[in-house]
Amino acid sequence: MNGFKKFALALSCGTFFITGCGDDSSSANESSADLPDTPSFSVSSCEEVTDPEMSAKLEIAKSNISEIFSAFGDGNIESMQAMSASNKDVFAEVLNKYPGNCEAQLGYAVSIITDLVNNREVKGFIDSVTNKQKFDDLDVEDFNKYLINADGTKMTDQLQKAVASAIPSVDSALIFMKNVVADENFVCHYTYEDRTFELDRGEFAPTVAALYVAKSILTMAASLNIDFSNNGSYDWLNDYYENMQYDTISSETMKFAKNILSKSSSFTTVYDDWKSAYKSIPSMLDSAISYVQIGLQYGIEESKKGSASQMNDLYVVSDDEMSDVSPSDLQKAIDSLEYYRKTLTTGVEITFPAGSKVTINLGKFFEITDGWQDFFPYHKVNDISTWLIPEEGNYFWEEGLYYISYANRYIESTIERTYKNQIEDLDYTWADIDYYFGDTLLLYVEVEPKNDDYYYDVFDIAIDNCTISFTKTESRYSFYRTSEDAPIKALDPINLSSDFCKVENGVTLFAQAFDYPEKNVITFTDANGNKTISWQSLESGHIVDDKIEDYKIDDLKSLIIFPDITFGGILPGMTVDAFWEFLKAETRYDDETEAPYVVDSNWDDEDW
Amino acid sequence: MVILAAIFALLVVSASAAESFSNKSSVDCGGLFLLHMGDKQFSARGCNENASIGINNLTLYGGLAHYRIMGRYTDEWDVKGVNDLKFGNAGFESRFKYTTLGVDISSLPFIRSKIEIHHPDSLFFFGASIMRGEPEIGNIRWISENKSDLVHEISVDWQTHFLYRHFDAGSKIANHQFGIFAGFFETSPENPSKEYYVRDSVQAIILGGNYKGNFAKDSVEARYIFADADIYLYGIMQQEESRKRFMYIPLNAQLHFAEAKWKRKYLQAHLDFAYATAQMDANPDRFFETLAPNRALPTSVLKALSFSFLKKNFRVDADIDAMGIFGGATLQWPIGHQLTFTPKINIDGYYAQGEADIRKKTENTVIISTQSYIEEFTRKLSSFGSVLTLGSELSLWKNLSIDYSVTQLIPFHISYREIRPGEVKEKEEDERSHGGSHGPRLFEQEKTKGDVESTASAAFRNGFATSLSVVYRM
Repeated sequence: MNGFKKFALALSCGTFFITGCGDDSSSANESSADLPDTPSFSVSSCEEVTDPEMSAKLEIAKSNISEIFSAFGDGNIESMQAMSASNKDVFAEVLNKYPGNCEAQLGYAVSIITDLVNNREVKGFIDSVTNKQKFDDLDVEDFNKYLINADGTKMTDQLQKAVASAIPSVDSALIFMKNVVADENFVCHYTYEDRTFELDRGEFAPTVAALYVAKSILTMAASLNIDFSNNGSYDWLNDYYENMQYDTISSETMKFAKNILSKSSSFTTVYDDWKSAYKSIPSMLDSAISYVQIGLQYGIEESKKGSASQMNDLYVVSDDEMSDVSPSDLQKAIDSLEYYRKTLTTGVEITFPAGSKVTINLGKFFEITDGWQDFFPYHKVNDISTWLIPEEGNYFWEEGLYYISYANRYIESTIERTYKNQIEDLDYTWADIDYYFGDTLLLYVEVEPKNDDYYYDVFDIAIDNCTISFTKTESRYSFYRTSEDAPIKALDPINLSSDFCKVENGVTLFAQAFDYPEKNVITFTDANGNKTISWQSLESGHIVDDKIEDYKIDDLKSLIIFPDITFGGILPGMTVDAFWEFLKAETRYDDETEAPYVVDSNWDDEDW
Repeated sequence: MVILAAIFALLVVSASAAESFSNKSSVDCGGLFLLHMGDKQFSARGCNENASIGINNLTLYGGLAHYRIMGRYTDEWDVKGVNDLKFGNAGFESRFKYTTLGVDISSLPFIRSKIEIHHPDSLFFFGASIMRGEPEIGNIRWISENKSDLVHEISVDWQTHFLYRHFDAGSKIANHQFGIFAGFFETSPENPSKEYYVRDSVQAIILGGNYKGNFAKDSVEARYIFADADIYLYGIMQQEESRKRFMYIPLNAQLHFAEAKWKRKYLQAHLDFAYATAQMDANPDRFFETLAPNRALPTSVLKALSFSFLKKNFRVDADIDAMGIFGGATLQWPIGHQLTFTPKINIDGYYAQGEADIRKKTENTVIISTQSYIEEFTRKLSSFGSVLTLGSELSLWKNLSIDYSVTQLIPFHISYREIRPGEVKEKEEDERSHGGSHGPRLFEQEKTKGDVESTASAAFRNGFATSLSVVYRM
């Protein structure tokens, strides 16, 4: 169950914009985090520090920066918090006296970022995540404990507030760093482990770009409604994980799941007061591209002065062998960035590995503020009571209970449900029908009680028409360890419905899947809600010329229908045919490129 | 190669006009299948045909050859080497009263010229030869196990440009022949017009001496060779005017080799001993990293930024020692006169051991912060066993002979171990047959790797060699 807990934390810590749910009652206007004020101040251009005492302080503070990063790398947050706070003060002190000193501006900008660990909201969030560890240690399996704080606030809200509160710090760092970049001649010498480094615009400008990218990510994280609670409760998640295996998810949870997938859900919408900031993300990314170009261009200019002047640089730009990268490499990178910059506005044609060309306009992605559900293919969620029932056309009748029999999965699910209902403190159970030496049909039930060792119950299976009965027996294999204290001594027979079983001429026939009896969770439809294909059919494949075949991508074109194949203009000019042709070409390419590893085993038998 | 064939054809036509000549033609084909395992493979196959014509004191010769040598070694990266050689050669050797002259030209390309000064009855001799060549060593590919690595595959071509000067002197007194020689081998680093290549710079000295004695029934032979080489290999990526060094391997290697042979009629025996050492010292300087993959990246924005924000370098120290003893005997017994059938059996025993102490330092640099990881480990290889060769030669009226042999390496013991002192690793979790899983298990630090398969079918794929030779004399 540890996986569940990690998943819960991941939902709140990282994957918030791709996972989770919201409920119908949460309004799109409801904002988790206040929109922060954007700081605005002017900074003087570069000047030297003349006071030896200040100069010495500056050097110490500079060397502390690497210690702070080292503490961060070691996961020592407390040490990082303490060092960062005092270091930021030193840079502030130098800046008070020499507001135009670029080294102090640079140091202060870096300190602003490292000092985010001391931001009240961020610190609170880090503390909350740290505190959740105790639930993990105690093996708590309640998502409410993980995702709701002691004061009743949701972790998602706390995360978004922390993220929003970090944005002004990034803005302030941007102001300082842009000022540092503006001075083409400013370089910062840095001695670390007996080596002197020279940091210059070649590093500063990409750092500004990184700050713009960071601001874009933070803005996105703060803007999207990622509340996947049901009126502030995660009981639905508990229900889902506890009962999914047994097909006993409550109707309320199913209703909630349907709702968050619906177009009317506020989950993944952008909060009204964040819409403007969210839509400005392409402009931030555009600025990031410009600053990367400035940094690369600086490298080209440096190369004209020769390699000797670059020996302390992080990388040497030259055509010589004793260099890292050539000026033409940098120029090509600049040109390439210029080309891809258009993805943020008009869109550009991108060539994929198999050679498919698709025009992508990333700018349109940030114009989607009403939720991503609008772009899901037309579908409906099936009633849970029908999930295990074979759908017409997905099976054939044949003797024998095998793993491809729909009845097999139905029986296993029923038995697992019986164990769950009858054994208190059950952590996990799993049932499997298998043949012993090809003739004796056995049912193995693995039982894992909480805080106890696992054991197996083993039953002989008898088939009488469509009634399946079970008789407890001994384990046939030593590794299927049984328990004398097992509480379940007998199981009631199961009468299979005509969906799974029928008797013809005295012979019992079972509905057999073409491949594997998939649960029929959703059904794809057309725009009018008419069924095109079910999930079960899609997975089962179909019969073509008396042979069972998987559905091919060409078949899917008319079965999985997207409301807008341009996905809101992200793929301008995309057509249904072109979309599926693209998938066909690229998936085939992926399959083909895996092949060499297979061929390798006989590679020396090549014709010579 | 076509030009060489034409030169040789011209020589043959010219020679056929001469009054008397001797002619010898031969075709040899062979294959060596040393290893065929999941992570290690080595095999070589080849055929060559040669012809020579002797006219008085002039010998003309020429030949065509095709070799394919392949090797593969997997260790985090999959390293594959292939050398597919098709070449022709032609040459002559002319022996005069006091001198012998010779020239050999090959399409590798390669040229050798030789001059020898000798006493008419070979009481003493002094020779010098010079060789220059530009053979392709082959293509080497490094393929990462992880397809998503920034550098998934590097494929480099390696062509060497060498000059070899060889001097020898000797004396023949009665039945005793003594000789000493010195060779100087060097390669000149050159940059071919290829995207990825290996450039070498080698300086080696080879010294040796030999003795040969012919007695009434027996002949004995002994030889000793010492070689010392300084080898520098550079991996280069070249694009337009730009060259970037992504690999630097400095090696210093020494070899001692001694050989003794004894022969009496149809029985001969030999004993060989070899001892080799090699050292590679990691250079701490910039641009002298053992491997700097960032510089091998194709042009991209990622490459341009990677030097500041994610740079990975490897520096490797290695100390290698290896020795081997190889000895055995061959017995052959010809049957018949005009038509001779000669069965042969050769049994050798060998013992070989090698040890490599390796220290691998991985440096990850983000802006100015470098995190280094050092791995130290020793790899040991030891093996003893025997090599059995069964063959036969069929000679018809001394003009035609057909020789066929099969050789099987029969190792009694092979051990290839990697020892990582003080390190405990977790083995992958192994799944229970159904559901659930056991916890991770600790295993011994010392592990045995890549043992040769013991199945019968593996025998023909590991340590097996075969050879067929047809010779025609006129």
